[in-house]
Amino acid sequence: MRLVWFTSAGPARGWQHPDSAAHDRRSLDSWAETVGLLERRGALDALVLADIPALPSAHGGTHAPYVRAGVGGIWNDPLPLLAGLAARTSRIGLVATVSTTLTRPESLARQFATLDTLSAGRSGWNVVTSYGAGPAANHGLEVLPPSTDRYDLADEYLAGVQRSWDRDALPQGRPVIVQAGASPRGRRFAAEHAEVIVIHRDSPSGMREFRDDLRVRARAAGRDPDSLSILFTATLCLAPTRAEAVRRRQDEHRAALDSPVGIALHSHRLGRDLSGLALDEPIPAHVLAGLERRSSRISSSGPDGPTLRELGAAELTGGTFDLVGTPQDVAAQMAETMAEVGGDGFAILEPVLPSLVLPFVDGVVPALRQRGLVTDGYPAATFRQNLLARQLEVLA
Amino acid sequence: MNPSLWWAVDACDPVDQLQAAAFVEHLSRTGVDALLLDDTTPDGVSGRPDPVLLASWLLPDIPELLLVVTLRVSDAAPYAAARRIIALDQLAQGRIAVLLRPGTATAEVTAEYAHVLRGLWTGWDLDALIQDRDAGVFADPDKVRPLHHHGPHFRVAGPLNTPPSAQGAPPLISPDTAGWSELSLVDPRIRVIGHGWRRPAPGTTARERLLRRR
Repeated sequence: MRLVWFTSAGPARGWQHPDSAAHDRRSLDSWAETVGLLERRGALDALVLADIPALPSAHGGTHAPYVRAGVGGIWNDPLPLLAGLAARTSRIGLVATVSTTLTRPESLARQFATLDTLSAGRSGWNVVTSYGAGPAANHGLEVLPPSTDRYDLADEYLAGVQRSWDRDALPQGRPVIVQAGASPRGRRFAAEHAEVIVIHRDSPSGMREFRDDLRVRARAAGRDPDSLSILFTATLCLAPTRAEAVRRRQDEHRAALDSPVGIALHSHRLGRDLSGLALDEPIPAHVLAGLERRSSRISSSGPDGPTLRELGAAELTGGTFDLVGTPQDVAAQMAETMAEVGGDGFAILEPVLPSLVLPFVDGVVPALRQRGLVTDGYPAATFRQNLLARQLEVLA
Repeated sequence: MNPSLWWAVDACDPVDQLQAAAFVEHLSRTGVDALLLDDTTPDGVSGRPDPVLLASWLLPDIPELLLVVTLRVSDAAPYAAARRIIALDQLAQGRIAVLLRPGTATAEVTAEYAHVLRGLWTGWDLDALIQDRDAGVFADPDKVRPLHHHGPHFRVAGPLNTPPSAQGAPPLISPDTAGWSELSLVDPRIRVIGHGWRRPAPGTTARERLLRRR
């Protein structure tokens, strides 16, 4: 089983947690300490940092609710942090998200060549094509090109930067290619190019459907499907007893629905302005038009549409796999899910804070080791070699 | 920012990583105020270190030294460049300055680019970040302003989605005396006392070397 920690750079992610005060994520020392735990105790394959170059403003056309609550994408550029962590870690993969649509290929090739050199072969590039009005407006564009055009460009773009890396003779040859798009065109791109695919699915059957489809596509593209690591995002709620973990999760969901920022976050995720709507009245159909594929709650609702409260509840519990319980419970749930899906692992969607990292690396990871699902330490030196070596262990 | 004693290296000159780390660690004990990571290669060259990433990688070895990193106007959109520098400056606790080289851009484009960088950097007030956990307030939205820049060469909405570093707007330095800069490389107050990744002679501090030259 492969495991990565998937978060974003900067001080905002998880800032509400009590220990974020003592772990200011503007400090390299603070990051190095906690990522060191992921590496030394958890032997995780990689730290993956998301990125979007814009503040959200979907809710009422203003940034204010997101800035006030510190949510929705108050993120730092991941590359400087990963270059700093390259000097402070030695084994864990370091993956940065950078957009093909908004970045010059010469600059991107150079940045990842630098990261691969500084980390001695541990770099990865999460390829995104960007979406939405915010990133466009910050880069002098009225709108971004349509999704299929962006992926056509990304194909050509990737070929160009890979030629550049081949000339540079980097420690890892080429940085590991990571991708997270779920659209049919995004799946094609992933099947043709990606070595690690990160995807949101909230049920083992949905995971299996996605993984089977992507493996078929990869084989059709002439690739060995076993060279792909398909990782499913998962949130964590760990406690000494199962009842306590469940209760804590329910409390969090209740609090999220009652707070104005919870609704602002839904505006952001859906790309629709939900401000000014009553919590318990059906959302007007025109507000949600076109989103049927995005959320089963929208398509399955009656002629009146879901209420804001119903939609919020569905969004909170949907989309991502939620791992709740004791470390033993969670390890068992991960093991059972992988047995049903076939592989390949999980991307843990939590902030990099000791209060969240320690219960995972000291509780869940040892339980996974007992089950023979993860290894102690790193089998190889580079990020790609580790991914492939762990794949072989599973097959053996 | 008015550091007088500088050491300049071209980030693009090949250097062994351990050698570079040893070099800056030594440099930080010699009395040099600032290390300039320059970037004089033509556009489109990969395989040579990116100065911003190299600076970040060197940070653990140089807790005191000021770092001047080179940005080329023609390399990146100003929004992306502004975010990258602030991310670095947060990690460096406000010890970063930026040498803005035009690359293939004209002087007029460079001046507008500098204006946009500064506008984005001052879009968050230094005291905007509150982080009041009890009240659930991360930052004060009244202290975060969009830029709405509509110039002849750039259109940038803003604000940054990155909170400010300790110094807010890192100083901008021009290679020559351009109107937009706070300092220029030809300023007589700056003394570049060494070049390259060569280690200063053992036991010789920068101040001593400077005095000897007089």
